[in-house]
Amino acid sequence: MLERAALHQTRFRTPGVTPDARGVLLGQKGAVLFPSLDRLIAFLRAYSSEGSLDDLLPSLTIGKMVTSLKTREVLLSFAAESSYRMDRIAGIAKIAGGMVFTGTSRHFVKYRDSASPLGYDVLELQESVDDVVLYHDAFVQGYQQEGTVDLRQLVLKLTPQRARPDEMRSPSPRYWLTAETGVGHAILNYIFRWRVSARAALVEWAPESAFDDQGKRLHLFEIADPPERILELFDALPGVHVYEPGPGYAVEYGFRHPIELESASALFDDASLVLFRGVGNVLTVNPLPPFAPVRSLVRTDLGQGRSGDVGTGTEAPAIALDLRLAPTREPWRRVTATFVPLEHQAWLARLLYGLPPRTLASVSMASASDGFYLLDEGGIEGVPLGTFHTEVGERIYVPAGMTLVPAVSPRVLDDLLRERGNGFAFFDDEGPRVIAADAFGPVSRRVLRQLAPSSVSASALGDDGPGLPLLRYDKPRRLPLWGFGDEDDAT
Amino acid sequence: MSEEKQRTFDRWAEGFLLPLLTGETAQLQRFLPPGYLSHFSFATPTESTVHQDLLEAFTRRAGEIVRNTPLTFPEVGAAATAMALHNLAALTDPLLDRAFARGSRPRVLEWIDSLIAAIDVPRTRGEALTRHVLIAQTLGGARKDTVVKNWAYTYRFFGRRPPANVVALPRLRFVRQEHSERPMRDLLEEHALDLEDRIAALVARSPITHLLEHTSGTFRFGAADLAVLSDEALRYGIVQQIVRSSTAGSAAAFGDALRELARDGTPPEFLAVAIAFIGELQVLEVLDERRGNKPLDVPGVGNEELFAAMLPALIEDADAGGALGARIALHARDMMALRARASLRATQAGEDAVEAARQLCKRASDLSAKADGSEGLGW
Repeated sequence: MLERAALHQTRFRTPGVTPDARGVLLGQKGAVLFPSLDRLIAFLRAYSSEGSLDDLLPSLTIGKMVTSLKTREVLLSFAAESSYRMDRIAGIAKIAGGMVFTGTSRHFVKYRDSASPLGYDVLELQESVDDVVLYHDAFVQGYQQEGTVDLRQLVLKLTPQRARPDEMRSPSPRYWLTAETGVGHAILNYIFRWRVSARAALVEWAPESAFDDQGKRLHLFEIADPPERILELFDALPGVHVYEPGPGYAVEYGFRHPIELESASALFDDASLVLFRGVGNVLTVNPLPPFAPVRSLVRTDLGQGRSGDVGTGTEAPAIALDLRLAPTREPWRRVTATFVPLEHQAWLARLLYGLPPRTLASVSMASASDGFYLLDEGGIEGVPLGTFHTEVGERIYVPAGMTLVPAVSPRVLDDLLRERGNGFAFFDDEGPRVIAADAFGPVSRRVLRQLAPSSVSASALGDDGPGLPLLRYDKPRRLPLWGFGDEDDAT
Repeated sequence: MSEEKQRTFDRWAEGFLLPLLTGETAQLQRFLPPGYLSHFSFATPTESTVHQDLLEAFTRRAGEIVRNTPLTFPEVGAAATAMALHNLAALTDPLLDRAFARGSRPRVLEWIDSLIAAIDVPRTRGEALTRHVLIAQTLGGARKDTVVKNWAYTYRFFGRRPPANVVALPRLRFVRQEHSERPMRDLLEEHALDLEDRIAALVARSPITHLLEHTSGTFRFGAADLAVLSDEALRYGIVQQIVRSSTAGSAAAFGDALRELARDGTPPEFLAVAIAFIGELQVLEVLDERRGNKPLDVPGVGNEELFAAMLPALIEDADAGGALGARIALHARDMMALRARASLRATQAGEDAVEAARQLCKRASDLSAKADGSEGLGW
C-alpha cells in the first residue's frame, strides 16, 4: 500500500506532498488520528506540558470522523509547517496512541518513522468520496467528517485535578477569590482588617432556568500578596474559593488543570475571566466587572456601624494579656541563637580565634548596645558562650529552657510581632527585642578590622635602576677646535 | 685660564656626566683636550648638589655589581676615561664631516690616545667600578635621530633636536616626525670612524668591563683582571653579572684564557684566582637554574672542555680537602645538584680535559698551602 520515499525523489503519487529541505516528505497539513477523545486529551496534556499549544492553535481543528462501518474516531489536523514540528508531534502522538499522517487536502499518507526516515508515498490512490482518506502501511481508510470539537469547549469541560504537594507552585503575587454573597462582606472586613491589598467586585450571572429565583451572585476579589495563613484560612472556608491566576483564567488553589493552560493562552482573552473550580464547575466572567478597592468599600460599612454603636453607648469588653516567659521541662529544640553580654566580649573575641572555618562562615552576628546576638541555622553549639535561645517561631527566639505563656501558636506569635517586618525577635524578661535583619552579617566581617595594607614598591628582578642614557651632540661649530692652544695637547 | 676650565668642568659634569649616569639625555660638550686632565682630575663641581648627585649616581650604578662600595670621583683614571669617552662619542657627530671641521678629527684622536695613555691600572675596588660604570653607560647609550617631513621637504637630524622653525605649524605644513635610536656602541664601532681600537683600549683599562665583555674578541686574563678577580666581592659581582646576562660563549673564552694562563708558567696565585673565578661561575650557573635560567648543557671542544672540566676537578679537590675546593660551601641539596652537574661535565669534557684541570688545581693549590688566595693580589 505504501512505498518508502527515496532521497532526491521528486515525483510522488500522493497529491500535495513534497520533500522539505531535509528530504522528508511533507504536505501542507499534519493529521493525528486518535481512536477516542481521551487519547486526544492525553496528547494535548502531554504536548502542552512539553511545548506551546499556542503555536498549533491558529491552524488546529479537531474533527469527529466516522467510517463507512460507523466507527467513530477523532482526527486532529494542523498546519505541518516543518518536519521539526511534525517530528515533535509524532513523538508525543505515538505515546498517546495516535497515528500521524501528512497531506494537503483529502489524501493523507503516513508520516515518516524509523523504518522510512524520509516518509512514505502511496502505491495507488484510492477513489473515494470520503472527506479524508488515510494511507497507512497497515490499512487504507476513508472517513466522513461528522462534526468538529471546539478546543476551548473541550478545555472548559475538563475537571481540574488536586495537585500533589510537590506540584504546588511557588506563592503567586496575586490571587482571585470568590465568595458567596453571604460571607462576602465578612471577607471584605477581614481583608481590610489585616491590611491586605485587594480589590473587590460583584459578579452576577443570568438564571440558568426559569425555576431559579434569581441569577447567581458572587463576590470576586483580587488579592495582592496575601500571607499564607490567610490563603489557607480562605481555602478552608465554605463558600469561599481561592484561585491561582493565569492570563484570562484562574484555577482553584490546590488544583491543576489537566492541560497546561499557560501554553494555551490564546484560548482566553483579557476581557473575561474563566474560573476553574476543583469540583469541575467552570465560571466564566464575561466581561469583567468594575473593581473597587476593599478599603473604600469597608469604610462606608464601618462608618454606619460605628454611628449605631455610639448611639447605644455600648463598649465591647476586652481582655489584655501579656506574653510571659516561663520555665519549661521540654527538651531544647532548635537552639540556633545565643546572646553574649558585653562583659563577655573578651571571651567571645578569644573564642572566635579558635572557631573552625565552617562554624565561622555559618555564624552571623549583630552588635547591640549591651551585647552580641549570634545566629547559626545549623545550631549554635559551636559558640558555647552566652545565653542560648531556641527558635519558637519563624525568627522568634526565647531563652533555652523557657517558653512563652499563654502557649500561643507560632502563627499567632508571628501576627503579634507583625511590626517587626523581617527582623529577629528575642524575648527576655523585659519583653521582646527586635534586631533588624540588616544588622546581622557574617561574623568574619563584623569582627575583623579593616586591613590597611602598606604599599611597598617592588619591581621584577633585573629591572633595577634607571635606564640607559641618550646622547645628544653639542651645537655644530664650523671650527670645533677654535680656541685650543698647543699647551692643551699634552696631559 | 683655570676659571675657564672650571666652567667647562661644571658644564660637562652637569650636562653630560650626571645624565649619563642617571640614564637621562646627556649633552655632549666641546672636545676636551688632554691639557684639561690635570684640572678635571681634582676638580669638583661648583654646585655641591651636582657633586653629591654624581657620587650617588656612581654608587648606584656600581651597586649593581658590588654594593656599599665607597667611590671617589674624580680621580685621574676615571676622569681620563670619562674625557676620552666624551670625545669618542662626540666624534660620531656626522656634522664633523664637513669643510673646516673635518680637519679637527686627527687632532682629537691624538687627544683621545693621550687621555687613554694617562689611564693607569685601577688600584682600588672603587676605581675599577667607577671606570666600568663610565664605559658601560656610554657604550649602552644611544643616539636619538629624528626625521622631519613636511609637505615639501625632508630634514634629518642625527643626535640633535629639530629646530623650532622646522616643526612649527605642524597641521598647516603637514609636519611629521619619525624618531629612531641608534646604539652608541654601533656608532663607535663603525669602521669609517676608526674608533674601535680606542674603545678596545679603554675596555682593556677597565678590568671589570674587560671581564664582562669577554665574548668580544680574544679574551686573555691580564694582570689587572686577575687583580680584580682576587677581590671576592668583585669576583662574585662579576660572576653574577655574567650569569644574569648570558653564559653563552663564556666557556670557550674563559677556557681558552685559562689554557693560555697555564701555558705561560703563570705564578700559582694567579692561576688560583682564575680557577676560583671559573669555579664560581659554574657553581652560580647551577644555582641559577632555580630561577629558570637554562645553562648550556653541551660544551664544545677544546677550550670549552677545559672550562667544563674545572668543575669536576674542583669537586674532587673539595672531596680531597684541598684549599681550592674548600671554597665551595653549599647547602646539601645544592651540593647534590652541583655534583650531578660535575659528573655531567666530566663526561662531556672527557678524561683528558679533567686530568688537565686536576693538574691546574694541583698547581694552584701549592699557593693555597702557602697563603690564602682570597686575600687578593695586593688589594
